[in-house]
Amino acid sequence: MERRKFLKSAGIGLAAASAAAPVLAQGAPEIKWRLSSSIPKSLDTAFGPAELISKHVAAATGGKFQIQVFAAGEIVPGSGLLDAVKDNTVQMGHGPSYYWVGKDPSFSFDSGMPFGLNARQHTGWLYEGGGMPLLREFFKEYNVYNIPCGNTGAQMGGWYRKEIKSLEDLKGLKFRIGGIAGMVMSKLGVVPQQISPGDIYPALEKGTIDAAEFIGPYDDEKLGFHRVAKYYYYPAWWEGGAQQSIFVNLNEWAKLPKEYQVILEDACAFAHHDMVAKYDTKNPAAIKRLIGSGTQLRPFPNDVMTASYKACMELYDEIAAKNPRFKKLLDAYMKYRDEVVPWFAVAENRYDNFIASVVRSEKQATK
Amino acid sequence: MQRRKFLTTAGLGLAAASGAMPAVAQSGPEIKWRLVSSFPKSLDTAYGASELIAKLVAQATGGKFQIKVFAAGEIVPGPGVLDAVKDGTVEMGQASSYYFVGKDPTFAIDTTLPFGLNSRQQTAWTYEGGGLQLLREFFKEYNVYNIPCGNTGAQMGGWFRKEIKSLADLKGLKFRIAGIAGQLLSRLGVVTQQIPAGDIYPSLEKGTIDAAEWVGPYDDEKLGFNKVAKYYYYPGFWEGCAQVSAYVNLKQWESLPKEYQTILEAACAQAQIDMQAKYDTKNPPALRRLIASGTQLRPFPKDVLVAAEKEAFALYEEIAASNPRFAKIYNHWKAFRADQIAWFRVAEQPFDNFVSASASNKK
Repeated sequence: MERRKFLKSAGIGLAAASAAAPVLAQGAPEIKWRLSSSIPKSLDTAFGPAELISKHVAAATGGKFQIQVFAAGEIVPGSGLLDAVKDNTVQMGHGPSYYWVGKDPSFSFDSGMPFGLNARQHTGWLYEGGGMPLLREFFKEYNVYNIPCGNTGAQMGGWYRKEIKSLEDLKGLKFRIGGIAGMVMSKLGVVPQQISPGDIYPALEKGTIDAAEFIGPYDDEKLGFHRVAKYYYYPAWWEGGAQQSIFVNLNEWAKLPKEYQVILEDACAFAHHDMVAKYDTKNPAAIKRLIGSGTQLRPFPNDVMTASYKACMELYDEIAAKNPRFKKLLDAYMKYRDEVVPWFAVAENRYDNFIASVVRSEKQATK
Repeated sequence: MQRRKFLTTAGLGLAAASGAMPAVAQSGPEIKWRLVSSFPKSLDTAYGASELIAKLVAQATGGKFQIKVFAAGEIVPGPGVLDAVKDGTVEMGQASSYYFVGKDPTFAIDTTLPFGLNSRQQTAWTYEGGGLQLLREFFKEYNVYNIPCGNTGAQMGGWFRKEIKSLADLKGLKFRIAGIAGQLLSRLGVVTQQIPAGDIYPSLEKGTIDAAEWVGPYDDEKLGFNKVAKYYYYPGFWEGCAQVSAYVNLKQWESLPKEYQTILEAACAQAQIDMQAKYDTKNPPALRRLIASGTQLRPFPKDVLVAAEKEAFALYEEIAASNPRFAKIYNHWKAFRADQIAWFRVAEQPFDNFVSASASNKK
């Protein structure tokens, strides 16, 4: 396997014109990295940040820092991504960290927790609320430096062949859902199924499974779930926002010149906005088309939400009791949640809810 | 006035090691710019975005692209930022463009409009919805290249000496509020007052004004309004968000190497994340402290919100009828807004509302 062609530290350059100019910028090294994503190209909005980051970094360095991007499975299978970065098979990985909850449920804190923070609050926790130092400490054990680079926003609760009218209807439901949410669901009698995205459609069509969750209107529509399941539930209480990150091999990160580190982190910030903005812009049109095609939109019944919340908090306590890494992150995360959520209820939610209510009553008036 | 010390294009460097290396990155020019903010240093969160941008740009260029930051009034008064950038007195400014609505109400849309998009929706409209192209076309007439670099999120509705129990209580209320929000409230009988930040406290204390709005808990607390007005209303329906942007003199922007342009835009993206994260993290404890000090939190009565929303859109339609620049951007924005509202009330709001109810039940 081709390894990165190593840096030519170049000459010291003609520093005569400016004695103060640091050597690094003067003769910045040529670096070629490979990035493997755990996301397929077909999920253009989620995969896109990897390409955008690569483009930005190249543009900011005059082409000297090149990151070659590979989609899931091209050189590394999605499930093997963490190890590939850890072992420096690739210098960089990209995707949501909840794929690795099998190794340690603590990985979920980077992508998002059921009944946790929304996308903006998650960013607040990471950047200003002390979340990032804790997560970096955690990822360091895997020889990884993590940089957030996108979010889906709140996702949908998935596609159901039959209506869910109460908690009772979850018993025995064969539901394609993974990770921590799957563990919560199984406490409620759901039989969670782990099925790769490409196999969801036929399984749902044949009735091998009763329901499946994926992302939101824009991505779900592409996979055609609305043709084989009529009911589309909301919200995905397990994904009030799913963050994805860049995962850099820690040794490679440490070797980067400071300039390139800043350029890479800022490119990730740009991609972060870009991905949320893309989802927020593409989902509204997609949900309109889905409803136009006959999809029935349904909110989860209250008893489902309440029971799920309770089961989720119990699960957190159970995991925390035996996993000190998880406990450390959970305590910090919940402390932030319990502080930020009541504040959002005041200005943000009141504002959003009022505007939604006005638009709804205007629509009713014109009917 | 000292103008920018011009670029030392340096040598071509020793490109021997790699023939493909472009000259610019090799020995990027030394550039020194000045940035004037329309925010005082006391608004550390909003003003801070400027300092962060300067720091990141310097770090990413090995100190070659230097931006020196000045707070409001240091070399240019806050409202003069636009002209200073336009005329090239400084290369760069940072402001909320609704400060410039006196020139054209269209400026407000880069910041926000009453009952407009929330912070995330504003970013979506700007980045992906087509808003940025429209705004750049508009700013180009002022010789300015705009780059979003922050947001406050939804603000508070301000400090009131007396309770507002219904729409009738707004009649004759002397309220410190400016811009399009002021125009809107005056249609509801409010007597709007334009008072600089430093004079709000004594005016409120003496009762020269009945109420004043500023930003949110973190900034408001620093000005001590809780000591002279008891009721703190929400939401600030005229500021469901307030975006802050960097404004670059267009000629200066065009003269930057592509590398520096990319670095500057990405630094602004980082600052945008940082500013929203700072407000979201600092507001909650500030609100708790305010409530502990005796502040009474009150939602605006429903009839106030309903009447204000109706008047807001009537006002926009009036402005659009006589201002084609406003009309072009507003109509685009309005269509985007309708789609956003329909979508956000499906996944985002039910999630937020449920978690909010559960988190408060716990207590």
